Amino acid sequence: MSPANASATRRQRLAGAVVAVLLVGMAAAGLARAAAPTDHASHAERIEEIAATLRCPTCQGLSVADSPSKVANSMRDIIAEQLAAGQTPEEIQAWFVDRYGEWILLTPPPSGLGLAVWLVPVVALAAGVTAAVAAARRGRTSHPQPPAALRSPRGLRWAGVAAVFFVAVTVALVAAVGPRGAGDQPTGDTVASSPQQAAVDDVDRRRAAVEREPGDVTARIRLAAALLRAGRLGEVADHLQPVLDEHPNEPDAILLLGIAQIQQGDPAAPTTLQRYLEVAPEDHEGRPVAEELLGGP
Amino acid sequence: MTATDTQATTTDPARSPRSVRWALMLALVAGAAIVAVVLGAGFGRDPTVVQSVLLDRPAPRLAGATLDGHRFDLGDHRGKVVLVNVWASWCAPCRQEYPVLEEADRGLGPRGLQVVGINTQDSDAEAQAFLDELGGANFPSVVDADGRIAVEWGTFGVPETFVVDRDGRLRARLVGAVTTGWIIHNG
Repeated sequence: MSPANASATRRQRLAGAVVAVLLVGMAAAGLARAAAPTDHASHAERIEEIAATLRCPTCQGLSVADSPSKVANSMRDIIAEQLAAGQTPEEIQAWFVDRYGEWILLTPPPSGLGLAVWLVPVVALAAGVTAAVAAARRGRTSHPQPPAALRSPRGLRWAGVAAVFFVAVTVALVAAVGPRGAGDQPTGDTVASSPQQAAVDDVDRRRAAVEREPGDVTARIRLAAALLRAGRLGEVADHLQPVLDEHPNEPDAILLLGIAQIQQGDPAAPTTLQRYLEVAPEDHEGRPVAEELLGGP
Repeated sequence: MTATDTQATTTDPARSPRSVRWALMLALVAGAAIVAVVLGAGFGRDPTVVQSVLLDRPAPRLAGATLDGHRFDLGDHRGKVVLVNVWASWCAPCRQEYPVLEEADRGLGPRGLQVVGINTQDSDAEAQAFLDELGGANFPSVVDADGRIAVEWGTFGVPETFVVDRDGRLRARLVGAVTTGWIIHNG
C-alpha cells in the first residue's frame, strides 16, 4: 500500500468512527430521555404510566391503561389512591404482584426465566456485531468480489439452511396452533366448544344421517331429540309426523312430541303424554319424565 | 452478512474450513429447533390458566355492605371454613353454579361452613333480580359494584371460588363454575 493510499484509508476510518460515535450517542440520548422518570408529569400521566406496565386481568393482551373494562377502571382507581398515599410506582406494582403474581407485569423482571428475555437480545446483538466485524475484516484483506458470489454453491447452501429454519418454525407453529374450526376460540385448541354449539353440531350430524337413510325410524327420532335439545321446537314435529304416520304407537316419538308440545305451550301436550303412558312398555325409560310432566303444574 | 461471508470464504477457503461451516449450520438448525419448541409450547398453552400466588397465605380483606342491607366481615368468621364465591348477574356460569352453592350452604352450613358471595361489577337491582329468579338468597353477598374487592382477591373473571380455612388462610381456588365435588374435596 502506498503512503497516500494509507492516509486516505485512515481518514476514511476516522470519518466512519465519528459517524458511529455520533449515531450511538444520539440513540443513547434518545433512549435515556424516553426512559427517564418525568418529574413534572401530571397525576393522570403518572397513573397512566403505572397502568401501562400492568396487564388487564379480564382482557387478552391489553394493559390496564389500554383497557376500557370495569376491572381495569378500578385498578386505575387503586393506582391513583396508592399514589396519593405516597406509594412509589414499584410499591404499587408489588401490591398487584402480591395478588396476581408476576403474570400481572407486562415487562418480566430481570430474574429467573424472565432474565432470558433481557439477555437474549443482548447476546444476539453481540453475536451479530462480532460476526459483522469479522466478515468486514476478511472482506477488506481479500479482493472485492461481485455479488455473483451469492449464486455460488456455498451461497445456495446458506439460503437452504435459512429456508430449513423458516420451514421448521412454520411447521411448529401450524402444529401447535392447529386448524381453527368455525366456532373455536382464537387462542388455541384448549377451549372446549360451548354446549349450544355442541347441540347445533349434533343436529347437523343427525340430519345428515336422516338424509342418508330417509326411511330409518331411529335416525329420525334421534334428529327430533337433537332438535329438541337445541331448542328448535318448531322442527321437532316435522320429523316425528312421518314416523307416527307409519308407526302410530312408537313410544319415543310420542314422548318427544309431548315434550316439544309442553315447551311450546301446546294444549294438546297432556293428551299426547297420556297416550305415551298408554302405549309405552312398563320399563320404558321415559315414563318417569312423562309422569312428572303430567303431574306438574 | 451471508454475502460478505461467502465472498470471504470463496476467495480464502483456508479461513473457514468445512468443519466450521458444518458446525455453524448445525448450530443454526439447533437454534431453529429450540425456537420451534419454545413457540410450540407457548402457543399450545392455555392463556387463562394462572397459578394463584395467594394460596396458603392470609385471605385478603373482605368486609362491606351486603345485598340484603347487612354487613359482612370475613374477620368475624375465624374458626369457620368460609367458601367465597365471586359472581355477577350478567355471568352465565354463575347462574349454573348457584344451586350448587345453595346446596353447600344448606348441607354444610350446620357443620360449620359459611358461604359468602362477592357480587362484583353489578347493579344491586340486577343482582337482586338474579337471586329472586333463582329462589332467593340464603347466604350473604358483599356488594362490590366497582370491582375493587375482586381485584384485591386477584380474580381474573367470574365466577371464581375460594376456600378460606379456620385460621383465615386461603386454601383453594377455582376459576369457573364450581361443582359439589370440588366443594366437598376442598371445603
